[in-house]
Amino acid sequence: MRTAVSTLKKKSFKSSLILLTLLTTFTVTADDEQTAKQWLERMIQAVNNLDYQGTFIYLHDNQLETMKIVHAVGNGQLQERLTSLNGAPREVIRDQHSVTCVMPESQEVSVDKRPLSKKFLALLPEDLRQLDAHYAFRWLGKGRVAGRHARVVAIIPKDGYRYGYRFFLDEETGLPLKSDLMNELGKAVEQTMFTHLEVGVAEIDPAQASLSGPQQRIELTAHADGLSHSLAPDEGGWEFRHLPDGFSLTTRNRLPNADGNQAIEQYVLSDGLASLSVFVESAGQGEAFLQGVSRLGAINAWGGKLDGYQVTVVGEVPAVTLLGIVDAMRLKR
Amino acid sequence: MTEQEQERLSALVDKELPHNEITGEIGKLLKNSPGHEVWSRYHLIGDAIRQEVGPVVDLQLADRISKRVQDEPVVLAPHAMQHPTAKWLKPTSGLAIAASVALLAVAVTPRLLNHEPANESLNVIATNQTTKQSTKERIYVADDGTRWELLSKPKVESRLNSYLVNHQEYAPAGNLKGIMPYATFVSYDGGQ
Repeated sequence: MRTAVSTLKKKSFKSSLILLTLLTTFTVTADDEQTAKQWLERMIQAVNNLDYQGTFIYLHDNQLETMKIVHAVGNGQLQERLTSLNGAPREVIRDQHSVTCVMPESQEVSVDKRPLSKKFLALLPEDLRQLDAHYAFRWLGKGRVAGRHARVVAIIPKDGYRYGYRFFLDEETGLPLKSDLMNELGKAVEQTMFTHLEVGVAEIDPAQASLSGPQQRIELTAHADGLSHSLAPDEGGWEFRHLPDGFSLTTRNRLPNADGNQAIEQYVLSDGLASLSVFVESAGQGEAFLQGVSRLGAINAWGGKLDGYQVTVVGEVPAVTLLGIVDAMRLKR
Repeated sequence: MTEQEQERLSALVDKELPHNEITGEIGKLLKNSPGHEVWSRYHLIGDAIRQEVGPVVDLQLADRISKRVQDEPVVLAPHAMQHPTAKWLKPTSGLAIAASVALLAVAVTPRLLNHEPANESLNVIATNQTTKQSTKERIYVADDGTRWELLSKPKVESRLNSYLVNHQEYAPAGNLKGIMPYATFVSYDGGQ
């Protein structure tokens, strides 16, 4: 009898211990999740609202590169410049009105002029809460990058249709000192890390590309009318059925092609964080289109013909997600 | 701790315990946290007597090390990320592996070099993606100045670049990292 009671006691003790452990674990997780989100919210504010400049290294596909970044928000006017410091000089300049890509080795400067406010699917801090269905938020402790103390947080995808992120955030400002993009297998596919960062300083001359020069800036290939048009929900020739979990159609646009005709339809699909664009155009004879798959860093691309149209899908998502999206496309009859 | 326990601990530190009792005593010590402190103190006393005390004496060193280890950022465990993936990737990858073996058997390699896979079923396209791993070396040899994998067509690259820049402006993650996503674009493939 005594043995039975003692066993019972032991059992109930055991189960309360398990319960206690579970509760503790849950509390810790919920706290971690909250802390992570608070830091990510701070990061979004910092990335967009602070003046900063610095040098960072960029690692992808075993390639190591150095880049310079300047981010200025003088009088609420955004000006950003990203310059490669090794290999062929390349530069991206972004302001309120346009994105300019300078690629001297291909003697090309492309300018995309559209008001930023219309283009951005801005991820606002409050949107983080809506990502819970497909991502977990984790607080991973402390670290140190570029001589600065950092808090480490991660956004972990709950399935393989999207990538994860790990950020080392500056304790002082919230800026991401190190960012790791993790693929569907949990491996870092793209990493950026500041080696030097100045906050509150942004030396930028918006009028001039730092790489410009007669031998480099040769041709300006801007879109003929430089404008894209948003399409109403019922416009556009394609619809999407049974998309990969969590993804939905967020934007439809009509873009000019090389001839300046509004001939390309763009569909942007997103789960709130991960996103990709589907470009549809008529498949002209002899024109160069992607056929098959390709990859650039963490960006995957697929191109092929669907119902006689050329379809190209580009996005920072696993290849399987691109293919799932293509599979969901239907030409409206 | 009782006086007797302290004496046995002292004997352990001074290596005066019979050989067959050492393991038991260490086991007891491991379970007894006040014992840790006494054990550290006895060592310190011994060291001081032998004049072997260094400039820094830190009785809490062990505690501080364990605390620091706890505070260290945890590396995202690949296993943890793999787990959810596995359940839906399995059918596709199984199919892909089987198909890629078949592909290799009939040596249809030109297919992998982006020659018109149009209208193929998505499964076959997915297979191309997987199979390219095995043909990677061959494909890279022909590359000249290309940055997009599997491509050596400047016009296609240029088009993809313009699509990519266009897409980046709509990417919510872009807001997360400012202009950083353009790093992909600005990057120069030094390996070419």
